[in-house]
Amino acid sequence: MKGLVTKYFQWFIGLSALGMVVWALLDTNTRNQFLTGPGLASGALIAAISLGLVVTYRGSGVVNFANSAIAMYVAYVYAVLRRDGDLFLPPLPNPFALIEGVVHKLDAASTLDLPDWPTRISFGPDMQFLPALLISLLFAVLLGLALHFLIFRPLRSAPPLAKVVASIGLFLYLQAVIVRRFSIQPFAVESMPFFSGSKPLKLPLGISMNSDELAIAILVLVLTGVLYAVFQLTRFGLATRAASENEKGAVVLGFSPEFLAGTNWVISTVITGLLGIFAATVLRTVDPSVLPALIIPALTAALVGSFTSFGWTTFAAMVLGMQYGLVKYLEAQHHWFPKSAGSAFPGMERLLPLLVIVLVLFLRGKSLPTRGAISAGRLPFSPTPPRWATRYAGPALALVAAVCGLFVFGPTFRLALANSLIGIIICLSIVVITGYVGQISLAQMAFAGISAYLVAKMTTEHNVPFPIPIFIGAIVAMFVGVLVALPALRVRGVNLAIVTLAFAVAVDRAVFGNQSVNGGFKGAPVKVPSLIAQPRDVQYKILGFIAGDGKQPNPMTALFCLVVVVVLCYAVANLRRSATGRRLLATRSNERAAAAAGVNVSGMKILAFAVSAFIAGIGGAVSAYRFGGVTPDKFNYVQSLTFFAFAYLGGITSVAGSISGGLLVAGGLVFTFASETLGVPSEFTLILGGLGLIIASVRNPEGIAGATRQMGQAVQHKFARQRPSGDTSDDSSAPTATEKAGAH
Amino acid sequence: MRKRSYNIAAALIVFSFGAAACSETKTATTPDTAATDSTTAVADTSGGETTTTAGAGEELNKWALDYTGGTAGAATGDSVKVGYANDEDFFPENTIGINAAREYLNAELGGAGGKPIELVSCKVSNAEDGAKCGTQFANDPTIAVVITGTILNGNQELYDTLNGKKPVIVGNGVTSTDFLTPAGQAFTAGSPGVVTGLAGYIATGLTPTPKSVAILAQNNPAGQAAVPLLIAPALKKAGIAYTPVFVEDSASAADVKAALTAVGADKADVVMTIITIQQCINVYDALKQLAITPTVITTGLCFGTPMTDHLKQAGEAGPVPDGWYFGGYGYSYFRPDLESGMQTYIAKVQQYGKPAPNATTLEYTGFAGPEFANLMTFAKFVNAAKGATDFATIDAAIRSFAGPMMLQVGPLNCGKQVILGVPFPSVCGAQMGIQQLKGGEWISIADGLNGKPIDATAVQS
Repeated sequence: MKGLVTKYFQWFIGLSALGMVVWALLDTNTRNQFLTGPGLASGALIAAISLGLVVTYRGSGVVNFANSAIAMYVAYVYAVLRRDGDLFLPPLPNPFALIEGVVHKLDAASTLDLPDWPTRISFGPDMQFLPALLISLLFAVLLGLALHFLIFRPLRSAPPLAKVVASIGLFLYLQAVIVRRFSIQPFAVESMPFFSGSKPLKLPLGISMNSDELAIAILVLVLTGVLYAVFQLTRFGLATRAASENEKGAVVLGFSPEFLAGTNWVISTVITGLLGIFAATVLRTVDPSVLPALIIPALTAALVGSFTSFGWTTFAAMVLGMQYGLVKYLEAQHHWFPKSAGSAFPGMERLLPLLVIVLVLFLRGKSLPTRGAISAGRLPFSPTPPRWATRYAGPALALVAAVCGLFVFGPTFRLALANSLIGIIICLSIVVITGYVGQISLAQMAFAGISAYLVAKMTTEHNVPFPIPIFIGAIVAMFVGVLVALPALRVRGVNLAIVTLAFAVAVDRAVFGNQSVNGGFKGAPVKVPSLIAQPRDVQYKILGFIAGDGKQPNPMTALFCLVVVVVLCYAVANLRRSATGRRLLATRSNERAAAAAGVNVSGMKILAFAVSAFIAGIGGAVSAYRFGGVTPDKFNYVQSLTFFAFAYLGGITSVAGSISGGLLVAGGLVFTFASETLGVPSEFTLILGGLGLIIASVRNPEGIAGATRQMGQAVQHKFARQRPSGDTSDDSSAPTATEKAGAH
Repeated sequence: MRKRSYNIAAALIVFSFGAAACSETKTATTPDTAATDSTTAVADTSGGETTTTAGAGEELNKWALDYTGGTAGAATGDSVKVGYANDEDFFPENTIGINAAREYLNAELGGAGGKPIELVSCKVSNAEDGAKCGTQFANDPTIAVVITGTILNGNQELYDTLNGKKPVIVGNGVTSTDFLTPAGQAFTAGSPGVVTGLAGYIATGLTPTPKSVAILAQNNPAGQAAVPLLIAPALKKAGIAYTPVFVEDSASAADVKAALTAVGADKADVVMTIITIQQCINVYDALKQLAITPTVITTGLCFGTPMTDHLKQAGEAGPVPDGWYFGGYGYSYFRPDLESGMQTYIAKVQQYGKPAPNATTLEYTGFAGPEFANLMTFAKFVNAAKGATDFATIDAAIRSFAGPMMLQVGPLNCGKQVILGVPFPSVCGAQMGIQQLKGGEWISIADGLNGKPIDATAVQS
């Protein structure tokens, strides 16, 4: 009966969607907004990214979140070659710079100037179209090979989490390199010679389109056909398909999955790069934000095509591109369009990809295909917090932080401490959901933002006293987290990452971009108790000692953040030690085995999402009190990606890891130290963060905390070997065999 | 062992990356300023190109000395420190302007009170940066004033920290925070004055009076607020139909084209845009591709090297699209006059200005001019106070400044501006100007050059 109802509901949803498309095509006005040149061009741009995603996934099993960044990067290579005849280089490590830095530190008057890396390789003045295109595509080939051999080949048997993390690191790194080299300003791209000066073309159904737009649309369709033919009709394609379904089988049949993966990586980067170049010429400019932002609709389109069908992926991309104009038309011209604070409800065009994803998951009725790999990799080890850590190390660390914040640090490091503490809270939320249950959530800052805006409303409009808004905000975030958890019951791994990313983008545009929420003209200030208000020049007498230096920021702000962090760290550590924590890890390890052992897998996932969103909500609320106001930029989807990156880098499976991650966040203690003492500019935060994330995912999935723990254990074992036999002191930090098995 | 060596190598790479930040070979070329020696040069323009001709260097310096009240010659002694916060990624031209002003003041105008001015720069691109820069400035007793550039995120945190601690000159604000803060004053008409003035011009100045206006605005809190608060009242009063549509910062050219089609730009008499330069470029392309030629009314945010480069590639001469109307602070980079200080600015920014990092050309339009003027005005306050730079003196001078302000038309009325019934406590200016590039020639439509600037406080709703 339940199945029948579900089936009817699926039909209802499907027919409703079809009806809407038919309505859009039959009505003249809507058709004119739906079937437009810009819409087709926009769809082609999305398809350009999503085709590369599908090729990569089929070839190597990697959902490459960095694909749009690769398109942008190759487009920059082409644009700079065309304009200046130069091939730009990313920032390269220069050992001489260390010597120079030390000498200049010791002797400010020193004129020591050792050789630097060049930033560009010049091929002469500006370059013609064809050589620029060929060099750019050659670069794409090398990039594809580098990505395969340096990053994704070593990760071939790693769990999806490591691959997602590596691709997110790559995304952040490529974007940061471009910002470093060219700034955020748009970079003009010369049009292709055969399109220069051409007039708009009039196509059937009243579609007006530029020749370059038409060219990219045709190119996308041709490439779709070619890829379909290659993957359906050639031996290479058949081998790739075989390997994507069952790598073991492919090996038995004599195919090398690694060769296939490498070749597909090259095909993917070349196609993505070629279409990126075309996209940049259609857009007339290239910059670090427009092309990378296409990753969300591109992922949606690829998801519709199950990361296997080129035809459905291109079709979905085209529809997603064309809907933008229709939604804008309805927004501008129809009074019935939902309103908020007198203006059209924002971000409806971004809600659609989320809606499509949810519908696809629902209509499919089963989780999306996953790749049959030769060996399933293990998630990073999640250690049980040892008793000495919770009894002694934790309080000691908190005491050190409190003493530093109150008595030792100057203003700059007090601020950095508060930034790190808030970072720790967000990282803790990621530890619970990803580290303990293995669910990849890229929406943590969306939960934090929901809570933060609620705090602003409650304190200014309803005068709710401190600290009640923190709890209310966190509870609401928790309920939203439970809602997001529902798709998690059907999907996992990369697919869940896509769902949560789409959710983060939708919340960013539709909720945080909404004047009713963000306060519009007057913003969203927060009433902060004067005791913890950050901009105060105050000193306090504590136990006879003077706390603070009488300068901003108020040391009590950091202390307030510290208290929250300590409480949450203990709560999360206890969760890990508890029976519930073991059930969470069992769910992470093997859902079927956990269910067979009597663990309520669905319940565990929902619980993890709820706890994680609650903690993120606390983080958002603390941030709101700390800054005295809420702005959308603090909680957008890029922030979610960045925090995820630093959480992984710190160590995603332990409380210690979240502390390491918090220290690493932008504006945190590590980068403040680097900037204040080594003079590392702030724009290097993301370059180093992205690079660190790639290195961590390949070399050390347990992050900094894991590496530190391993080093500690190595020292301990060395020590133990030197002890006389019979000296068997308690070694509570070393996991038992049973514990270790469960924690993986 | 192998793993450990990998880790050590990774750590070394990370550290040498950091250190490499300061050691890369810069490839940007600096402009050859020899040909524009300002001691004998005055700006003269025709069409969209600004060139310099010999003859009036002393006159320019005289204007500057009269404005600042300084003494001719180089500044000497201990420096006067000025805190400067800007979003360098998006608005590097602010830095070009203020640095050129500093060099000029120190070399030729006796600095501030005879002492050289030193800029303490701080980059703000998010809330953490805003709090950090604010803290740094607020805690430094040697900093006499803080001048902001243009900050999209983090300005609230910056102002909160500085409020009551340091005098603040709000440079080129674009968010509502900049115009509502109690921390300082903006000596320009700012976005409220310019946007309202443009709406007022559409309502009562444009002939024939349009029947419909398509509005393309940025999809952020400032853009969303500007339409109902600053544009709609004037258009409603004049009985003009208007349709707004909002586009995101990351909207592609195709998205902007779709939005323009959706908002009915092909049928509207006027297309009004309040967008960044990236979207200005997209609007230009979209209109060309849609083969429609509505009257385009926009702001000076569309000025800049990316637009000039883009037009050059599209085969058009001139720095901005021909036929468009531009709202600004009442004077023109492309028709520089002596009285407003524009000639002095053009000559001196070309002499002392340096291109932004990674740029090959000197960007001196857009926000560079007002930022140059802000530092000149600070020097004026210090000179008038006979070198005093204490908080009370400078803060009082800022809040009581009534103009005339370099490059800004009209008198100032700091702290008391009410535009269309909305109070803007940190906005001093209310007048703005509109110019049009037509047939390659710049025309004063309503500005300080033809004596007909638009007063935003007089626009009726």
